[in-house]
Amino acid sequence: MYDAVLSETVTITGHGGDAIEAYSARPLTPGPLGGVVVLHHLPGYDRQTKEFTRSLAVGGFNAVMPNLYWREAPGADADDAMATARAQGAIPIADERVVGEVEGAMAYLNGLSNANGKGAVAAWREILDWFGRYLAA
Amino acid sequence: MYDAVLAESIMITGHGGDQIEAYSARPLGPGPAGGVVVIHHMPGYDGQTKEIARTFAVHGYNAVVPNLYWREAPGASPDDAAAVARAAGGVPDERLVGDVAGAAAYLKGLSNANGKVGTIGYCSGGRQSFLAAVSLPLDAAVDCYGAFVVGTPPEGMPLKVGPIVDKAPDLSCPLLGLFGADDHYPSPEQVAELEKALQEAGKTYEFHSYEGAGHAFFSVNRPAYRPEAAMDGWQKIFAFYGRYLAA
Amino acid sequence: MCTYLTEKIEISGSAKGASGWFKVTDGSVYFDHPVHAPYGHTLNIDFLAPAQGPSARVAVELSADSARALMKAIEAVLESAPPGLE
Repeated sequence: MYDAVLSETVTITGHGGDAIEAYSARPLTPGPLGGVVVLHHLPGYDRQTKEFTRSLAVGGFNAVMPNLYWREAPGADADDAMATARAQGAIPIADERVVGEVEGAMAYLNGLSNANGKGAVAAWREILDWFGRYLAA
Repeated sequence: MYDAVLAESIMITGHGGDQIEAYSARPLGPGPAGGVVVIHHMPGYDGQTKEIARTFAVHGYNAVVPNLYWREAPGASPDDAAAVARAAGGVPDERLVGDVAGAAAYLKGLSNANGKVGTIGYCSGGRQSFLAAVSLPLDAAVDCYGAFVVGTPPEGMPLKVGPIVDKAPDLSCPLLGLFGADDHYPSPEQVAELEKALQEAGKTYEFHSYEGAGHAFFSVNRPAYRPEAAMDGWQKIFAFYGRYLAA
Repeated sequence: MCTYLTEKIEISGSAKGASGWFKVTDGSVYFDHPVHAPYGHTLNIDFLAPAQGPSARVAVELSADSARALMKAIEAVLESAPPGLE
């Protein structure tokens, strides 16, 4: 049974055309496959969320997690990046920026040669709080 | 930072020259990387164990999980395969050693391998990790709450295994043991007995017993999960492998 | 739940981190999920030197009771320090 999955750090184009770091996990099959954008929780672009992203790939989806704190702290440990973003008042991240990163992540997913063009956003509960507050009718 | 990891099901040559299924997870860099044979727990060759293999790969190790129940139930779901194997009395020791030897050969054959191989096992796999280390030339072995290294299974237990603590003098490599202080199989007394045997045999070992943790404390999808013990245990594992599986 | 409220202060002093001592200029205090401490929420303090980058950081995560005990200890020590030392 062929189930090869490739997981690695990539660079994607995010909000404002900025190049940002992201973690990609995807099945190495012709698919076609749906895509999932993983939005990490407030504590950061961390090991657990990368594991979660890989689990989505094992489940048959192309998944990518943008590093939402990349601009504040490129290359830093996940918790240090969170602390820096927090100290700079960047948390909660501006909605416009989150939407821009998601659009960029979706473009990355749709650009994969085995994509089926359908995307979904998987978010930790805290992020859903944000959307719940600002995207409600 | 290049950190690409490839994870997939493969076939390896195991005991008796048999082709058996295995799960491979490995970094796609030039390495050189140490190898880890992950010995799955009694519940089977499951998603959680494959996730463990990917964790080792993400940390820079080539990892492989032989499907120890492949012969009993090829292609079956992990729990069905485990049930068949359980009914048959579990994995025979000789066969386990042969499958680990095959997995080690697979790891050593990878083009980015550094030639060093360790084992890690959980639950029945803990005993099997010890068994592999007293039967094969390995570089490191980790025993996570392995029962019946010391002591015989009680009446009615399905596993047809016996104690192997008398083989301690044959241990080919350093041993890391991670145990829960609340566990009964192995009990703290049995862990102490194993430790004594290792001391008497002059072996290099490191044991940790976690308060408030019992059997299966690394299992993330069960009530037995103990995050603190598991997080500390992982640190101990990587420090140990860093010492003995590095180039 | 993740909380977003953060008290930010300017501080003057030094902290010892993974790479040794460094001067700190800023502090963040918040009550939120810890990264390491075994609680659901902790009182978190970041001692920071933003000019030196994100890893110039000493972080502590304390249970709420520990944080209150720490406050009392800080006040007690400052009260009892001989005058004129600051």
